[in-house]
Amino acid sequence: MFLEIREAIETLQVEFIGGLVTRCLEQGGDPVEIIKEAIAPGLEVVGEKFESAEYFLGELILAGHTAMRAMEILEDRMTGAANAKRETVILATVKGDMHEIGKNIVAMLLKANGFNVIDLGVDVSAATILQAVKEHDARLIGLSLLLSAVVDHLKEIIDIIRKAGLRDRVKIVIGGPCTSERLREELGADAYADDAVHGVEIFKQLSVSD
Amino acid sequence: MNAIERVMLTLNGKMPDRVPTFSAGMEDRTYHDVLGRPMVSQHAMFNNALARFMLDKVEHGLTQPVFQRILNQRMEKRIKAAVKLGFDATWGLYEESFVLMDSKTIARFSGSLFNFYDDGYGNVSYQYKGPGITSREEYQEWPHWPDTDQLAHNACTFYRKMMHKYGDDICFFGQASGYGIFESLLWAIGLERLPLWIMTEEDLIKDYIRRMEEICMKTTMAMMDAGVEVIIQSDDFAFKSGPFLNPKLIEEWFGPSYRRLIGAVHSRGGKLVLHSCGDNTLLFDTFIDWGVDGLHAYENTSNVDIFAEKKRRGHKTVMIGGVGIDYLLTDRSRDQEVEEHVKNAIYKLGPGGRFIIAPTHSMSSIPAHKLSVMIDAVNRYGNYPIGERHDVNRTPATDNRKRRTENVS
Repeated sequence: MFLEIREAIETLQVEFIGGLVTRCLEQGGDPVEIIKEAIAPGLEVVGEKFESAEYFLGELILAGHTAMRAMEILEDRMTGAANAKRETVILATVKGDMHEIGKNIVAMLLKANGFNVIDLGVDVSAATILQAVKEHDARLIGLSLLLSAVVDHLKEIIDIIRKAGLRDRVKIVIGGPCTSERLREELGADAYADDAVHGVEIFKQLSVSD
Repeated sequence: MNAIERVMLTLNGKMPDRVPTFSAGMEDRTYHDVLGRPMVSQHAMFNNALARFMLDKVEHGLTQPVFQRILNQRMEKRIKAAVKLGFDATWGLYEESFVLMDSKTIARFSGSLFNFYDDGYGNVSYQYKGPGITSREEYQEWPHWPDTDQLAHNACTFYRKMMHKYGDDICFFGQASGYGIFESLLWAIGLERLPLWIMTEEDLIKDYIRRMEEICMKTTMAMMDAGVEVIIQSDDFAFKSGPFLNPKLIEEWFGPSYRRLIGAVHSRGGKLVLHSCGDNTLLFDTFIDWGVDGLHAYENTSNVDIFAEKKRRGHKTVMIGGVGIDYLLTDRSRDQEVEEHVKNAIYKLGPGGRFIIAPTHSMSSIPAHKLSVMIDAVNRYGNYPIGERHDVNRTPATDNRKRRTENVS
């Protein structure tokens, strides 16, 4: 059954995934195992196909929808302990910028990969991000921006996290058209993601690194 | 040779006297540099209690004409500034696609929402807020579709006026509210929904594409009635890392509309240029197959290698672009860097013709002075024949660029 679910993710069977997951649960499948053994490997193959230009952004989004439908069913069946183990990621488009397409795709893929995503939306101030980090006890932040004019706000966020004494604990990932590895170095962020798949990979690595 | 002859020869694959220049539109800050700043900033005009009250509380039937008048003035200023700077061609946008929602929000008739914001120079600009259509019901009830015949009539009137005033000085690449069929759909329903709806809401997507094709077709024909020979379609098919959708889907869903549109333009002796942001490398062959006469953007910030494209497909289409707006056309660059870059671009992209040098986009961060430096460099180094080596002392081409204003410092 895991294989069928995995193949459904790989082949973007958004209309059939719900039935497969429900059947698997009825047959005694464990929600956490379904995520680990079927959904995550399926998404990994989708990511590989995206990197090799066999799949494009459209397919990546469809894969996200497919996995999300599975996750909606699984979340209801997960125990409190299993839910508590999920790593939280705070996502936001920085102040002054209203663009959120990239951020939303990352959010979708992170959720599909079992992360607990707190999406603060667009035009988000440094203070709001800090508050969310504290409130959710989050260790991971993803910051998106399209406009080069708002780069200063990125710096503000990193500064406010540092001033709050959380910089060693919290990892900050930046992404979006005007970001780059060079900008990451300049600002002292922890990682730069050049696309959504890469971003999810980085969060996966960071979530197991500590 | 005048500007129009220079551009049309290039679009016909023939050699002009010099590499032509194209203004990819100008934001307010840039044309203010050329024409002078208004006494009262747009930001002050819009961002006060009275304006907010008018926009939030007063019937939009009353405020919309005022807003449209501001847009019309803005569109003419962009053209006027391009003429004054000495461009050979300009993006001539007739913008009647916005509907005022309130003091913070505007909608495009095609279903997307935008927020007003200050561009950092005291001007009111807008940026995409999100989709206006998130369900089948919202699509069926969307109230802002235009009277297409009236829109076409208004576009024709605008371009007749612009052609009369500036048509001898500059070649118009005309666009009239009908934004790209793909990007309009993308903005209207949102990227998260697009791939899903193509599978699950096929009839809705087909209906949307049919509507947009009709708008684009009628406004295009209206612009050609007014004497515009070159049409520009602005349709961002790609993002930073590649196409939004699988190229096969783009061909299947959008190819037929584009083939009909381009066929109609060609049947009247016109040319169609496609502007598409992002990394379109995997789509260039598709666009060329549709019959486009020229392609604009080749964004360096999306890792498009324009020099490699010259070798690959430079003989099949007219390439328009080559000057990045991320650094070169900003206050941060030095004039000498702009000149060197333009010289290099001409040297690599000019041979064989089929090249129009242009900024990759418009942006409020572009100072007019840098555009002026770009044009001076084209005049100095862009004369044909362009070979392996540049003679920096070559006499500038005879041209139409003595109208540059004094206030371009």
